[in-house]
Amino acid sequence: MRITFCALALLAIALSACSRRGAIEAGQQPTGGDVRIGEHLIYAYGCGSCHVVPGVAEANGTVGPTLQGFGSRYYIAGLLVNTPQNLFRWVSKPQEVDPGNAMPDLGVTERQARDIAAYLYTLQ
Amino acid sequence: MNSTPIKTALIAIAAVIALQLVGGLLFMVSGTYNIAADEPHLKPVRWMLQAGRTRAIQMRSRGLHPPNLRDPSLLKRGLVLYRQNCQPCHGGPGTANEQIGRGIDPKPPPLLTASNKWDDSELFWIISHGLKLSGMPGFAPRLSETDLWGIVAFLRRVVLLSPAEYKRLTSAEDLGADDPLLNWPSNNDYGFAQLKAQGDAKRGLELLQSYGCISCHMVPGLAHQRSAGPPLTRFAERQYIAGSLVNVPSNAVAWITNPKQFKPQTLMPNLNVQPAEALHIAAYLYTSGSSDRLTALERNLQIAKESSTPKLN
Repeated sequence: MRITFCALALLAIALSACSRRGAIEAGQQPTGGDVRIGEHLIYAYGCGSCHVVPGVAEANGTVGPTLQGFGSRYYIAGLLVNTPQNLFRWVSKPQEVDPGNAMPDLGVTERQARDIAAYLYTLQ
Repeated sequence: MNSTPIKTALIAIAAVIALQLVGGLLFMVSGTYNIAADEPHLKPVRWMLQAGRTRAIQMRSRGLHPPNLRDPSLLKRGLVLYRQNCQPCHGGPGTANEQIGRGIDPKPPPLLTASNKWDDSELFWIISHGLKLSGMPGFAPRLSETDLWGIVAFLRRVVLLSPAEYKRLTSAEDLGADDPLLNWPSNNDYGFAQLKAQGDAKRGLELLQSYGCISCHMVPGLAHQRSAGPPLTRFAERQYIAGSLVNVPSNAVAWITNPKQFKPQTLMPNLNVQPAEALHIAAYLYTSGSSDRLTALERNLQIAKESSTPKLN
């Protein structure tokens, strides 16, 4: 009984580790960015003041839409197809893509946009 | 004889307290806790600070009497002060905060959030006295009482402005007192009354399904397919629709009916939803999330309607 329980627990841990690794892969591979740096940048730029970003500290804002499941979303901002290139552009220059929208240009560099995108693509 | 168990218990309690004090002291002097502002607080610490702060603000702001916050001259004063003193750290709709506001922990919240969370007196108290351990300074000694209420008045108005209107408001050299952006609309209730009278949330849910909204949006209460656009969860709390329109019932109805009238490039199709149907859909979407934001908006619109002659302290 106890052995079965332990085996199941271990299996669950192994599976969640695998799916976490799969998610990191899903972020890193198309963007060439670093998921962990991206997570910190999302905190540091205060994205969470306006967006819910699962897994990022204090990211529970409701000014804009939740970024939950962003990795499987087809479109960005209702205007662009959700490709890595488009996401880099949107994250670094939202006012150029959609002038006058509520998301401000925060001065995110191209390198940082890659890392942020890498994190966002882990959200399935 | 029977005092012994009580005595033992008291000694045990005292020992536990002493141990905790020593432990706490050791933790403090060890320097283990990270006080760097570029790392978030631990969750329990954050919770403790927030809960304590909220209570302290509520307690201390009792008994304050706001003047008529709908006075255009007060609003204008607040606008100028907001731009100088608040925007650098808090930013504004579509306007980023400056470098100085970015490295602070806790992050200076967008003031839209603050405006929905606190009542007039609480906002006045926060702006006057500031908040310890948060980077928020107190402005009371340098600004007059009227100035401070002016900022509160502006915070009340700004939640009803679109990013484009905000930009116009903050970039204009001088605005006349009769400018619509500085005045509370007296005949516009942003669709609240109609939503209350005619919106049928149950019917809205059926319509969300029959129009196929769920093939692009996650709708709370309905099984969704794949997400093309943003999830519509906690819609009541959302400040903007499509990043450009203030989320009030009239705008929600207008957007659902014909999204392309606001954004010709939007990927959301025009599905010929009738305004009456869009009202039901909005009624359903507004059942998702906390209703605090809508209640605050409604309350302020009500006061705007009732406010009579401007009176300043």
